[in-house]
Formats: sequence, C-alpha cells, structure tokens
Amino acid sequence: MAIEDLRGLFAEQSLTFLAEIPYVYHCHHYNLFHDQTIDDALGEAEGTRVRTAASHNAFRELLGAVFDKVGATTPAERISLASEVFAWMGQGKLSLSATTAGGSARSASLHYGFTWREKYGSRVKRIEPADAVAAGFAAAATELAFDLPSDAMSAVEHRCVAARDAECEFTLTPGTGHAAKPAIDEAIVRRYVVPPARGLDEDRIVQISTGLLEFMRGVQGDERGLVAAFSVFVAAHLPGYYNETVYETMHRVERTMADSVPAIEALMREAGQVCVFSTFGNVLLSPEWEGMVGPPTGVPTDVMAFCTAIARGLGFGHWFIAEYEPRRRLVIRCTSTYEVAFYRSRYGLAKKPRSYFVQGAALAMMTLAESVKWTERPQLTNNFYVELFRGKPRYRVEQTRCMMRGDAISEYVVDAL
Amino acid sequence: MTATPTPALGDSGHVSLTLSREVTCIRALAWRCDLPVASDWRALAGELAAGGLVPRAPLGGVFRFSSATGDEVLLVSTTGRVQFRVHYSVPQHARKFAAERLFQRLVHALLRICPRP
Repeated sequence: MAIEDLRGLFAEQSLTFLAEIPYVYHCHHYNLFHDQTIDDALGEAEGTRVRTAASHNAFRELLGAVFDKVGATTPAERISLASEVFAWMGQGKLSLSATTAGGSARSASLHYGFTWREKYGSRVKRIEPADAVAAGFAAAATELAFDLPSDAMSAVEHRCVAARDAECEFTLTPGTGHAAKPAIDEAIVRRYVVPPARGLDEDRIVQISTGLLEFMRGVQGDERGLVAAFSVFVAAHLPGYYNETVYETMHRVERTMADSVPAIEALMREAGQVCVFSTFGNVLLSPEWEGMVGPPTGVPTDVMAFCTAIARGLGFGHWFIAEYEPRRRLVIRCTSTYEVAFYRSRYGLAKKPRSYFVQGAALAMMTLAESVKWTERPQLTNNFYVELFRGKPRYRVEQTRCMMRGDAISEYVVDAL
Repeated sequence: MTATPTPALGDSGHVSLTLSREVTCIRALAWRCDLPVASDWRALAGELAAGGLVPRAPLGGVFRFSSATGDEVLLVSTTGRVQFRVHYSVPQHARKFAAERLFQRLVHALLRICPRP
C-alpha cells in the first residue's frame, strides 16, 4: 500500500489524516519559531526534552497506525517504512540503524536542521542541535520496529547540520519504558467537532480550499525527503507534536512561573502570526496560487477569504468568517481545529481559552488584509514582519469562546485599537 | 516596490525581458521575468520540453517544468509571470547563475518560436 493511499480527509471539517492520525502542513518559519518558543519558555535543555518527548509520542501514534494498516510486521519492514513515511512528510531522509540494544541514525537533510541553516546559518552560530523531531521519530520507529514499550528507547542528536556539521547524527540507547497513552485518532477527533457552519464568502472559500487540498495531496518529500513549495520549506506534521509541546509548556509555566504566563502566551500567539505571515503570505504570492485563483488584488475581503481558504487547505480545521468590517473588526469562528481533540482528551476541559495558534493567526489575517500592499509584490522579509507586527499595535485579539473550555464553538475577535 | 508591468509586444514584435529576484523567503531561490499575456504559451511549453525540461501536470493556468537537476520553471499563462526556481541544494553563491541558465533556456525557446527577422 502506497503512503498516499493512507491519507484521509474529513472534508466538511477540513481535517486531514494519515492512517487515521491527524496531520497538517506547516512551513519552516513556523516550525522553527514554534520550537524556539518552547525553548524560550523552558530553557534549551528542558525545551529539547519536551520537544523530543512530544515527537516521540506523536510518531509512536502515527507509525503504530501505519504499520497496522500496511501490515508491516518485521523490524526491517517497519524501519524501512518508517523512514519512507518520514521522508514522504517532508521531514527529511533519515538513515536508521538499530536493534533492541540501541543504534544510530544520520541525515544530511532534515527539515529542521537544514532549514535552520538555510534561514539563519549565515548570520547566527548555533551550538545546540535542532532536530528534536527527528530524534523522537527515531526512538519511536525503533521501539515499534521491535515491539518495545513506549520510552524503551531514547534518542539524542549529537551532531547537527544547523551547527555546521556535515550531517546530523543521533545515538539511540535503551531506556526503561512505560505504557503509551491511547492514540488520538480520527474517531476521537470526530467527537470534538461541531457541525460546520457557513460564514462570509463561503462558496468562494470552499471552492479555493478544495483546490488547495487537492494540490496538497500531490505534495510529498523529494529525494532528500524535503518539500520546497510556495517559496518555503513545507512539512506534513503531527498536531500531537505541536499540541503536546505547547500545552505541556503552558501548564508547566502556569505551575512554576505564573508571572511569565502572559509573556509565554504572547509568544505562542506570535507563532500563529508567523504562520500566517510566512506560509499564508507566500502561498498568496506564489505562481501556483496565481494560476489557481489569480494574482493578489489587495482587496481586504479577498485577502480574508483567501487566508481562510488556506487554513482549511492546510488541514487546520473549519475556520469561517463570522464578521468582517475592514479596518475595524474581524470575527473568526471554528467548528474544528487541530488542537481541541488533543486538549480535551489529554487534559479535560480547559479553564480558559487555549487556542493560542488561531488567536495569533486571526490577528495576522487582519494585518495582512489591511496593511500589506499585495499588488506591489511585497517582500515577506523579517524586516517587513517586524514593521507589521512589532511596531505600535493596530489590533488586538481576544478568544471569546473556546471548545477546549467546553464552549459550543471557538471564536476569535480582532478589534482595531 | 512597484510591480513590473507586464510587457506588451512592441511595434517590432519584440519584448525586453529582465530577470529579477522573486518575492521569496529562501535566499535567492526564486527568480522571475514577465512575458506578454498574449504569448503563445502552448508553443512555448512545447519548446521548453523540446529543449530538455520535463513537463509536469499543469495546474490551472500554470505550465510546470523540471530540469534534470531539480530546478523548476513555471509559466502562468493568465498573467504572463514566469518563475525560475533554483533547487535548494545549489549553494547560495551559485543560485543567481543557476537562475540565469534557466532564463537562457526560456530565451532560446522564445527565439525558436519567434525567430528573429
């Protein structure tokens, strides 16, 4: 069975699955910013540990489901298939050599390490490895290949392309092991959505997002296991990774550093901004978009509809525009996101709105619609990002309803200041 | 930055083409030039394929081609935009030259369908 045949689509909620495990697409700008946010909150050592553990758990869920679906039973089959899945996702091409006693892995092209070097390598010297996701994947793949329990294997990256090494290298060592948590799969996700609703510009959004979903079905890693598309590096990724890193971090900060909560929440929101600015922005300026939809018009209602369609096309869930008054107010609502099922299953009801990613994304959508001169070929540079988002604030966002808190829908209100 | 106007065919039937850096987040990987919307896109696509670029499935109004080294050329027939994507494995200092080689292939293809008088 080909990997692409394992894909599933919950079309009315714009949620995507691989072997019934949720996946989404994010670009390298978002992924690097997300990881940096976790490290900023927890420190590098603890941040790396949390990120590696989250990847380990998320890939155990995915690979376990893939092996079941495909009927891969031998260690060799499983390790080979796991590497193929990782490369197909655009996470990189990893050579994994392991037994029950441990082993090693290496790669010259991993999504995180390679793109970190591409983005920052000429300006910043990095010492710490960047590939916690690959480390977690390697540990999970090895455990499942040999039918070992969760955490029976740990992986540490000790050389990294981001730190100017020629290749990333990982060492796998046996650990103690414990029972894995139940996977959050499509059946669980379906419990935490509400019937989709129609918003403004709905027909156009549906048409565009359907085209984009179809386009993304053709996206897969190249011979190096990377995906360069829309002028960014894109990777299929596991919401389990994003969610565990964000919420484990937030819960820990709330327990131990309560004074820092507002600052860390702001960083989590900013990751959503980075996603919209970099991923959505580059999609809008791409030739593919120009061919499918047309060149950017710069009309704010167009930008808003296009951003909503992109969110759905990347598998972020059923976002819709409930209200939009240019330069004054935007209300985005969601009947599903890739966060809700994870939070409710793992932690129960949240005490406050928790959808930081969509909060930041909604704010950025308003900014992109109102403040970017799309017809003048804007350069989506870091300087432009700083100009747009780190100067005098023009808008504020509040999440007024949250499905993680038990509300019937999630709602994000952006108002002009 | 103002948009480069889509060139129109002059009285002589000639256009002036300029290779410029494209809007991009990855350094110097994407380059562009603009052709008249009225260009014969199918003929141009045929010549690019005859010149050794491998056609990929069209997407909407976009003709897509790959080179043997993983570079890409995209023609947006509805707007005249041409994008040259240099493969990310090309070192940064060499990307401009790789883009220029793709641009030359486009120019040669254009000359074959619109030979000089």
